[in-house]
Amino acid sequence: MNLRTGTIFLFLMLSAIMPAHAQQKSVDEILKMNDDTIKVNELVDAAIKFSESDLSLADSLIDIAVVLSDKINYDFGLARAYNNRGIYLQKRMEHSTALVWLEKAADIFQRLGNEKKWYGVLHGLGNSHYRLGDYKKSDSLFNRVLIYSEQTRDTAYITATLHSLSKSYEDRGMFAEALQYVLRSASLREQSGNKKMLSTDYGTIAILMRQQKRYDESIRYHKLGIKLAEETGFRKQEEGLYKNLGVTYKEKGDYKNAMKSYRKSLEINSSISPQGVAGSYQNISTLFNSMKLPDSAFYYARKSLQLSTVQNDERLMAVNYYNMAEWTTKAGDLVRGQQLLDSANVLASKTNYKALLISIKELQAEIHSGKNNFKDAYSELQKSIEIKDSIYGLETAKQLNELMTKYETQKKENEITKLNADKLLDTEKIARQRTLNYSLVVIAALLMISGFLIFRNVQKKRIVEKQVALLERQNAIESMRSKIASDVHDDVGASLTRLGLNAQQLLASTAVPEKEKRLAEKISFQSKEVITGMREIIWASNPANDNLKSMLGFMRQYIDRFFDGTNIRAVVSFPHDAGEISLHPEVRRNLFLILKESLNNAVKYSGSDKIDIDFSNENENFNFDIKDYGKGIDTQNKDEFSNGLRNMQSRAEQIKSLFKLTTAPGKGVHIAIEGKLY
Amino acid sequence: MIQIAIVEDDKEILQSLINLLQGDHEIAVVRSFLDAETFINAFTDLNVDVVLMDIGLPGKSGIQAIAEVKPKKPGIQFVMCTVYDDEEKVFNALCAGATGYILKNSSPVEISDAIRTVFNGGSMMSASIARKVVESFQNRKAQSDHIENLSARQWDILNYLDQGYRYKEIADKMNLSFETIRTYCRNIYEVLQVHSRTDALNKVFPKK
Repeated sequence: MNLRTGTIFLFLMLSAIMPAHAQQKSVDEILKMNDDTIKVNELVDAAIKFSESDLSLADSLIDIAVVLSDKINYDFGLARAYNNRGIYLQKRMEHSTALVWLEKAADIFQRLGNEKKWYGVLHGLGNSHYRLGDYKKSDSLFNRVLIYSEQTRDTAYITATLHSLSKSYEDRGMFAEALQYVLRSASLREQSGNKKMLSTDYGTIAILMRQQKRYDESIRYHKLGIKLAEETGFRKQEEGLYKNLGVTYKEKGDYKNAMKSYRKSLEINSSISPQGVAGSYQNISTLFNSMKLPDSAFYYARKSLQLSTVQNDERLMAVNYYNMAEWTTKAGDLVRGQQLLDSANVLASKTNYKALLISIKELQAEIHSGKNNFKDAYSELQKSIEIKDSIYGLETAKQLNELMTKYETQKKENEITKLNADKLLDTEKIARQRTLNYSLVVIAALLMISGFLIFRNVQKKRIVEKQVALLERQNAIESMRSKIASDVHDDVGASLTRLGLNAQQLLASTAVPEKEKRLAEKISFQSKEVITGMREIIWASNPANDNLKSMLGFMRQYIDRFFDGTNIRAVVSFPHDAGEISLHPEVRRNLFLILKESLNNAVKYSGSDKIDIDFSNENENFNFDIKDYGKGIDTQNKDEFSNGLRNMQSRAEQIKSLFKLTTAPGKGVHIAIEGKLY
Repeated sequence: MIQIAIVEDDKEILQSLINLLQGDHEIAVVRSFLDAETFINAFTDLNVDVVLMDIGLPGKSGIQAIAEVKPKKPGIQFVMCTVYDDEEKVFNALCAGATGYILKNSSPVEISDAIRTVFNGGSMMSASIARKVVESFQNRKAQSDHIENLSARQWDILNYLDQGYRYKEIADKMNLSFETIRTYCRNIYEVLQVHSRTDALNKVFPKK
């Protein structure tokens, strides 16, 4: 098919399609024109008009314009055709393809020496580059255009370029730079007295400031914009500004004023834009959700849904379905939540609403996890990743991260130990100071009796003050310990339990292969270990447990659990009326650790079927004995146990107690600790 | 079919428990509650055999809930669920009317077992709980007059548990079955509960 036939073919095809559009000139009329250059220009303009509703028609019109321009060597028309094609491709977000055509147009305009058109296309190229993320190119193009536009002193042109620059910086999250450009645009518009456009600039400035969390300034600009929009009767702008003002108030946490602003926007929409009303209702519904008023949130979401259904605004319908799905799921009704989410998904997919699809997939993944359907949950997350191109982890991985809290606690424990060490240092310092003071006092007494009396009084006062400070320090330590204990207690325990139960569900599932079940078993076991470990840390850091009764009770429970499932009988003899005798926390801790170590050894090495654990005390003097009746240790060859035994010995020494080990091959092991409780 | 209700404020844990129990065809979770208050309000119309009760609930604790409702339907058994094996709390729960306890982070088998045991009229008692029960009774010896006390056999079993003997060993020693030991444990808890209620009453109406 050659050029001529092609043209005729398209001609005929078009006559067949002949849309009934109420355009300035119908396609038919354009095609009948005699002047080809005018025809080309009209075709190109018509293509833009049709590009929204009938892309294939627009394409065809451009094709004809191109063919015609080629035929009559009308380069200018050719360039315009390429440019307009680029423009409607941009509108459809097909930026890579748009670039191709725009570059062709730019080349021709440059060749023709048509600077204004050329720079116009460069501006368009800049837009596509930044949408594709090539900021280096877009920045350089925009700046070139900006310089040229400033030369033309065409305010509209300059501000358009400033806005493109601003948007591209905003996209990158560089709000300060983005602001610079809009502020420049605003000042230009202030100078030229263009109130309408100035109000839009104020609106943009306000939004950028909100993103920088400069809420009060943002509110100021919103209000400035509103005032101008009101003055100029620019109702659409006024509505948008009120809506955004509402968003700013919401982010600031000022729900009362947010609601006021949203209602104002609703009011305006009621009179100018019925479509806008549905949107206002949706904003109000999410605000009620933030205010934790679910009934109102649902009410407005439904109202918005009703209206948007009538208007066939499928994207807004999808948003409302999604919001309701999210709230219903979070409230625990997974069945209803799923239904709502399905509706949202259908609509969002239909309209290719990518941003919402990401959230939909994520919520879907959550619902699947809640029903223990991890395979599907994972595939949903994969889908959302594909849409979003970022990295997520599985539910389990998130929970494993919560175990990091355990290590945080360890860190805090170290802090406590350090504080204790500081406390001990202070005690020593005071002791030394005391000795020094007394020597001075004696010398003064030899010299002057009255002087001695005054001097002693002053010293006493200082010691008392130091003791008070020490007590206060002690109290601070103890209250910090309690606070840490209670902080950590509930949250971590619940997280670990959730983790362990999830692992249990994997174990119970028939869909999980054996190899993975071993892993799940490990996770379950390890989560229990961590809970046990946590329990010990919490017990140790709670000063309320610094008494004998608590230590014996805790040891008893530990022994119970330790021998559960073994064939070893642990016979525990603890005093029955232990009472609330105070213990030094170090004593409590070290005795417990010695117990742990010796029980481990007994089970691992002794082969004994009975273990005796005895504790007795007379006031502060105690005796703690752990006996087994197994193989015993060959004291010549006690290498394997050396470390453990040395640990126990040093722990005993730390609390100034005596450590005695009695053993012989075949005669079992007897560990005896003798010391003071405080 | 054992009908159970679960009272648990953490939704994820609640769902996990429900999922884990699905595998046991003799147990059916018929109701679930997120807090004690709702549970207490629904109790009169509740038709279950066993309740799994979380101790740590927002508002009223699980222990308070048991104390309030157990007298109304003493046939319903309560199994306490805890994250940490807090002896003090478990003991208080037992005094208030619970007859079993499990750690939340347990295997489905352990959870089902606990439910079945209490349903069949038995209870479990660890050595450390036995210790606390012994102490509690010893403290009362002075006061108790008209109130039911432990029988000689019950004391024997209690003491054996306190000394660390396993159920099997005790069963052998006393020529009883495993099941019987568990039933004895249940009886001991019931006496404990009577004593606790009497204590509470005595506080309100002191003896002259």
